[in-house]
Amino acid sequence: MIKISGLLCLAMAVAAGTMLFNTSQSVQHAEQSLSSMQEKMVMEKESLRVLTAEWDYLNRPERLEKLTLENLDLDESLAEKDVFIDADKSLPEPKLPVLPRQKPKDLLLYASTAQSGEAGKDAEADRQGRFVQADDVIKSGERERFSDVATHEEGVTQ
Amino acid sequence: MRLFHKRRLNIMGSRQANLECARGRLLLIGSFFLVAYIVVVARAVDLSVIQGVLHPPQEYSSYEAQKMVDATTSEKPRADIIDRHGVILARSLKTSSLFADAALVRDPQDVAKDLKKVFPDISYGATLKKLQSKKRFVWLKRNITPDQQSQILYLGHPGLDFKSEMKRVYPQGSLAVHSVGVSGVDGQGLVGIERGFDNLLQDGGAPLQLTLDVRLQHALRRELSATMKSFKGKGAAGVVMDTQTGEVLAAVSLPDYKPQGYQKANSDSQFNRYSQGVYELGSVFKVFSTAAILEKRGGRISQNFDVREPIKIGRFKIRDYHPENRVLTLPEVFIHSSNIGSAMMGQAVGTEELKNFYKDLGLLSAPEFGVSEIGKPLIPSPWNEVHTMTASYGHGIAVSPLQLVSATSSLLNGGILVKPKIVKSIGEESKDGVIRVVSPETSHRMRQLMRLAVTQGTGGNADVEGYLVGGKTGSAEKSGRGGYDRKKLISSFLGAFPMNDPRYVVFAMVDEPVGSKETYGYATGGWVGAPTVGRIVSSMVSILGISPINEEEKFEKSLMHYVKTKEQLKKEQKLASH
Repeated sequence: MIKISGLLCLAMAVAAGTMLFNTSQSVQHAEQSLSSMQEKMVMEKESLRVLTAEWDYLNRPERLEKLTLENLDLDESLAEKDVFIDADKSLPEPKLPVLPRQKPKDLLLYASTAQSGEAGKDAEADRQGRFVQADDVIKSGERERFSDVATHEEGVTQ
Repeated sequence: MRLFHKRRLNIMGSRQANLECARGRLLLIGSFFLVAYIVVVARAVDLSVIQGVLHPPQEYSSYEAQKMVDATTSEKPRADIIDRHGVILARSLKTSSLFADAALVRDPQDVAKDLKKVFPDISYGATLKKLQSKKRFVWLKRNITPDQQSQILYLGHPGLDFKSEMKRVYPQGSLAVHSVGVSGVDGQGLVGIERGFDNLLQDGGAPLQLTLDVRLQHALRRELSATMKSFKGKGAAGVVMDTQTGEVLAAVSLPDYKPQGYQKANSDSQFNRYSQGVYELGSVFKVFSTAAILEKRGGRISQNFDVREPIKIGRFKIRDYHPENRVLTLPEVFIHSSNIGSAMMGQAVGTEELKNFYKDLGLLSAPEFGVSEIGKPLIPSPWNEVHTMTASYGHGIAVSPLQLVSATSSLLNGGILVKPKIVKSIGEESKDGVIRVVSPETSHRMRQLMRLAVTQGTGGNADVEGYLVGGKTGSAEKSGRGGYDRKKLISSFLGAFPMNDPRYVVFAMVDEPVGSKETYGYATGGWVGAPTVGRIVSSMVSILGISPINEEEKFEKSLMHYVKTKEQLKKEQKLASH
């Protein structure tokens, strides 16, 4: 009896001591790694500050301009050569007025029922149906009608 | 425990008294440990349950981390200055400086030799002398690079150590030096924004964002310095402003200096010509006198002014540079830049009214501005009628280019007063502070007139196809000893674009330009300022990606009735001679 209780006490004390030791060791380790990580973070931040400053130094407009003139086949200023104006003129004129072919009678319906799920599904199905239809139209060569339908659809999705 | 002792005592049996004593002691010690154990348990419960669960230690980690960060970066660096897109204009960086504890250096010659290898620019003799001095602290090299630092560490000489210091760097160099300014070695602002916002920057908070755009700043500086060079000017200044907000997008003063060489720079380079310098800017002021007469009740665009004879008032004589010798309409006075006509306009407006108009536009008082160098305008005192007349064409009154540009922005944006700004304001500004300086109609007329001055008048060189550049030339004689000097000019161009809804005001000015062969000896605003502004505008549109306008009907068309074109004048001359 005596021996058992004594041994038990001893074992418990040893176990508690070991656990305590382990815990304190792991806490120490964790603290060490934390502080070293924080130190690294500070150093990283510091080097980031240096590097971003260097980046902006290397991207000085003056330097970029010099490098562009040396290495690229570009003009100093596009506007001086009226590139913009020419580009504007060279854009193709829209061939057809983008208008729905027929009055979109169900547009209002879509707009009002877009919130409810059921109606949305219907609209989705309808839309797919229309695209099939549109594809058919393309096959038959009526290009302008497709564009009409597509525009109409865009109106609906918005 | 007690049971345990008792039994033992019974078994032992003898020397009762001694054992009683020992038992008492054991009891005492035992109870002491029991109490100690209870204290430990109570503390454990307190930490794990009461403080751990009921008051979770949230701040623990961040607080500790902050403490560590603070410990490693002992001081908060001075805040950055950035441009409107976040490009760094000024930043404080931690650099290491090398010093020696000379008493600990074992072999000075060896150390000096090694240091010479790492820093080729230091002198061996001076370094050796420092190392042999036995002083406890001598600087060897300030602000070294991390690479050099690691090389020194690799050498492993005892007695060498580093001290970290803050160094202010300006990645853009002299690009915007007059605006950004410079701070001293101890981190105190000396000039510019660095000085104007010194307290804020020293607190080391969020970066201070300016309204400048480094790309536009570069375009402005490049063109101004090219013009200054080709006309052998003494100096130059330029400002680009957003008409809607008064934000300064670019501001240049030439000659300038490198930020790190501020102390050595001469006072001429240090001088901020765009905000500190006040100049009699000449004809560009006709923009304001013309607006004043249009704004006045009964001011009509069709008014005529007889400019055939110079005006004599007191000991002054007002004459024109390029006399037209005929009766001019108001738009003609403006586009041909007639001093006589403008003086008449000033007279018609009246002294008090013109003065008040200038005051409303902010021309008579120094503006509030982030840059600490601000010039106070020079205004005639007392202001007589003759001053009203000269002030109508920009003489006898000296303002800074910044004031001129912000007043023009207020005129052209539809008539709402804007104040020059260089620091981006945080949050929305209250709308109740809207001050109208001119009516929308007057603003529209001024847009047309300035466009007309480019298409028909003196500012033709400023035009950029598709961008409706408008403006007014200015060629002011500089006043010196004994009156004005006809050879020393301040030539400028006050431009804006696109004139149908002006978004940007661009001003370029050159101090004492000298005419060259290419300009047929001319050094006036039309030859110096106008082409410069034209080039700046064409750079700006490609930088900002502004599309050209397809002008279907000439914007200034409605004014064309009042203007005789060169062809018409030639025809009239022919008819007259027949």
